[in-house]
Amino acid sequence: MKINKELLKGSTVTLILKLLERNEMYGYEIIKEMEKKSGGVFLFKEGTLYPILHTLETEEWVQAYWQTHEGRKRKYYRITETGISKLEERKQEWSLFRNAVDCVLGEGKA
Amino acid sequence: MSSILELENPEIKGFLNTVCQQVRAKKLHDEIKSELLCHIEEHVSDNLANGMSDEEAVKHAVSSMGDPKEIGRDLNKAHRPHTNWGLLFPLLLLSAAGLLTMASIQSSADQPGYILFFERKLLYTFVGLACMAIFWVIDYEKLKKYSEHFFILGLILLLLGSWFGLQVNGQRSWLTVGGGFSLYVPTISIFAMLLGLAGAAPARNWNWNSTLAQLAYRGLLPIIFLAKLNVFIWIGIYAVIFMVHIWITRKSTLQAISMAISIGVVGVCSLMLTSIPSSNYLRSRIMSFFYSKTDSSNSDYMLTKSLEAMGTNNWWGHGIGANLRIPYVHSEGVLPYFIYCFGWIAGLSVLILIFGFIYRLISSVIFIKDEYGKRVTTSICVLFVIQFIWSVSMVFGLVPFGNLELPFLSYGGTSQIIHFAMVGLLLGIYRRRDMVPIESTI
Repeated sequence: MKINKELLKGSTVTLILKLLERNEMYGYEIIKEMEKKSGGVFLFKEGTLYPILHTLETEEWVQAYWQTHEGRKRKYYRITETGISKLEERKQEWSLFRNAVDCVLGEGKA
Repeated sequence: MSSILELENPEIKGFLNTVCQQVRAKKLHDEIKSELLCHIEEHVSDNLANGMSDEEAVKHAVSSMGDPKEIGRDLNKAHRPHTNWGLLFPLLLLSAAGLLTMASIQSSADQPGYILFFERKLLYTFVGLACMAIFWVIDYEKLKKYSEHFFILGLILLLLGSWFGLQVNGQRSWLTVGGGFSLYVPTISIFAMLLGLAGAAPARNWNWNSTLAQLAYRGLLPIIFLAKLNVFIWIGIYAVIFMVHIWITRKSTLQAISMAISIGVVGVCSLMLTSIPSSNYLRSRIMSFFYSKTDSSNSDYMLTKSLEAMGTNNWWGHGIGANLRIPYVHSEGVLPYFIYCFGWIAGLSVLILIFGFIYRLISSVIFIKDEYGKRVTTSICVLFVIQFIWSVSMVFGLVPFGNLELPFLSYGGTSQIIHFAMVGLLLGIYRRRDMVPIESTI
């Protein structure tokens, strides 16, 4: 089943931050990881990742730097302190949201 | 597949160009292109490994990027220009208050009226706004390569001032340029020198020889030249700007501290030996601050007058054009006069505007990632903070009276034009804060 684009949009930032929290990555790597971790559910147009990364960079949630790897120049992203605390916020927000949705749908514990 | 081949591939090229057409920050085009190209390259080589043909591999990689127009539009949004309203707004209001004050001084019967404070201030404000607009629009990074020229220009102006300057209030710092106009040398040359410092070799790259050269050329020389003009407050301001320059480009904390100590010791010693004994004016000002009970010199008189003018129960003021005998009513005495005329309610509003401006100055330093931009912003910030805080504190007797004007409120003259230009530069740097490639920030 394909996931609704709008549904994915709201949580892309959280997912990217989470991946970067574990490792410093470049764009293509992020796409691949996301696809792998979600079991192929999170597929989006790959180019749309970059405006998000650049916005995160201007907000200073992530920091970017260029590095040459096996003759290829790659732009790596690393999460900042601000990014980490924003990720915590987003995670809490998400679990609250998820519980609430589950409750309304009648599948929650409450 | 090599990257050269892929860059020449019309499909990839077309994709990258369409993305970049949407992005207004042209300086970022190269960086965006290489980042996206790197992505497509990796995808293509994965596709080839999965057994696709060359053509298929490229087609698939490009199409899975998505709509180039949409990507470009969103990238443009991420790198849009910013306007620092928090800086612009207090500036305009303070200038309006300054114009009002000048009109008030001019219409008060006490003033001989041979100086058209209001008309002159209006002219300076317009010229200043024009300079601000120019510095706002131009790309500040272009100034970087003229850093050395700016620094030398600053030094030359100081020398000219000490040779040909007009002496007023013990300062030798006005250069007449004809038409009844004169340039106030210290502000202009400090602006030039701080631009020079911002593009100068960072302290972390100094070795033993260059440390000595830098300290002598950029530290001591301007200080000695400023001392020749008898503008001691500006020596202090320049010294702080120079130390902050070392601090933000330092190798280590130890380096910065030892530099600060050596500048302090050498600077004070050389001033003691060369200038202070010959400057009765400065001595009397300093003395009167520390021995204000016994000494009734100029500065003491100034403070008494200014406290008297502001009063304690003066909430609504004595109205526009009120008469007040206070020395330097248009410059150092501008705040007491403003409060005398318009009362403490207006006075406090002006103080709030000043502190809003200072707060905004300091906080905008954090937003600038580009190193050169950050250094320029920091120096200008230091200058404004000292000048504002000192000139406000002195009318309350917290610090000695210095020959220092309240920016934008005082009559100003050439200093006012320079102040506007500096704010313009800050606005320009802030505007482009998300529009510079990261490579220039390292």
